[in-house]
Amino acid sequence: MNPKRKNRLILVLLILTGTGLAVALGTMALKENIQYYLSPMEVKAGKAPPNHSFRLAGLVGVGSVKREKDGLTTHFDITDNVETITVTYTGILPDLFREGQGIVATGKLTDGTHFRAEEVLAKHDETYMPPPVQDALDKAEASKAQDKASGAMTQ
Amino acid sequence: MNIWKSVMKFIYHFASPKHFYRISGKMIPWLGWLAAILLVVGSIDGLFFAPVDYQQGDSYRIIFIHVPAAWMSMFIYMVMATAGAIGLIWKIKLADVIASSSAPIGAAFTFLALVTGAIWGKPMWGAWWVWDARLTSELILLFLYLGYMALESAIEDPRAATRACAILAIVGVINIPIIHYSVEWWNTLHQGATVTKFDKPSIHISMLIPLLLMAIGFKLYYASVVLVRARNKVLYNEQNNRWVKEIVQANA
Amino acid sequence: MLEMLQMGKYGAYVWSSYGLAFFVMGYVAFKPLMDKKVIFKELMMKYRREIKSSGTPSSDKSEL
Repeated sequence: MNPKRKNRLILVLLILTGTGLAVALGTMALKENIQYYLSPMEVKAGKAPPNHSFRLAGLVGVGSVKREKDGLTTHFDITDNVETITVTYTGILPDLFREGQGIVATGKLTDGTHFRAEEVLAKHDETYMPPPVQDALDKAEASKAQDKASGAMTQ
Repeated sequence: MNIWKSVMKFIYHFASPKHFYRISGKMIPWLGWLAAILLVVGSIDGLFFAPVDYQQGDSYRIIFIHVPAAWMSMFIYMVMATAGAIGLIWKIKLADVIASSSAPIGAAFTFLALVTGAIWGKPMWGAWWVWDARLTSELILLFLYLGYMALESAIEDPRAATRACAILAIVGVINIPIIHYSVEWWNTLHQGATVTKFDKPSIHISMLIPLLLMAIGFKLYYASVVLVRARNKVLYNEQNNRWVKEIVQANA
Repeated sequence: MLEMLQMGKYGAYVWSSYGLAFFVMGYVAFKPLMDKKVIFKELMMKYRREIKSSGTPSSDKSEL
């Protein structure tokens, strides 16, 4: 084959592979997002795949975080303000991990209410503010802020 | 009708290679220096004067690169597709030149948006990368840019290459609303829109100002760089015309 | 001053982002400026060759 044509063929194949890969990854992402994001309520309703890894999303229960002496293992609750699942995780938590924060944990159920996480990711909302302003706002409308935090997780 | 005619006349006049070369040459220094000033002022404001974020501390300062880069990645794609369509329909060669000059700049901004996002995601989310809808669709955008550039160099006949590239760019536009609305349509780890929503922006004014300075700076940067690239292409394409010879020989 | 540069504990993340942006955007901006010089040089040599090879101006006035 003449080298120019060969080059062209290789490039076209590269484009096709790239596009195919992108579409495959896109479909994968959609599937994962539609199927594997479960709330504690859905888990309690038995929607979690047995012996299968899935993603559990919710807020870290206030006052529920307990760290073991090894400094790496953490126990905490994930809640959607209706149901609660207890999570155990060994590893470094993201800096945004804190009580009341929206998180997504990947792992398996060990029994009906206990979840063993392999990965914990923190989600933040779209609000950016300096700390003093935020404090003032929090005090002014504490209840409204809470609604917003839980709203951010469900959207 | 008269206005329309004179508009079209102006467009064809400006779009003639010779006039484009002359006028863009006058615009580039202004655009370039204004971009440089805005980028420097915006960076200093964002890095040192904007307050820390109540949740993310200093790490959020990546926003001043990440968000304008992501906006540009989509904006440049729209320019590329629009210019490609104009070139395809009205056979204005300058539009094709603008489209193909835009691709590498758009690819660079897409790359920057993805990498700065990863650098930001690691400390905040706890992961460099997740396969959520926002990140995946932005990655597809990078592939679209790279595909456009590969296609352009793969087809030897310049006319065929221009046509194929324009069609690819137009088809790929479907990805732009997907990127924008991905955070609403799917459960994403990525946050929702902060500035580009119908509500008022959820960002404090002291942080919004450097963000907008950077966004305008990025736009002017693109405008100046795309014009330099387009001028190069015009000069090369028109090399057998007298005006190019005169310019080249005057600069010797 | 040093504290300001450290960005809490996020100095490495913030500065690498800005540094990367600076280099990528710098390269994208200056590459075409370099290309311009190369094109001028190339065209200059081409025109000189044309003048030398024949007194007649180039035959192809093709519009690309």
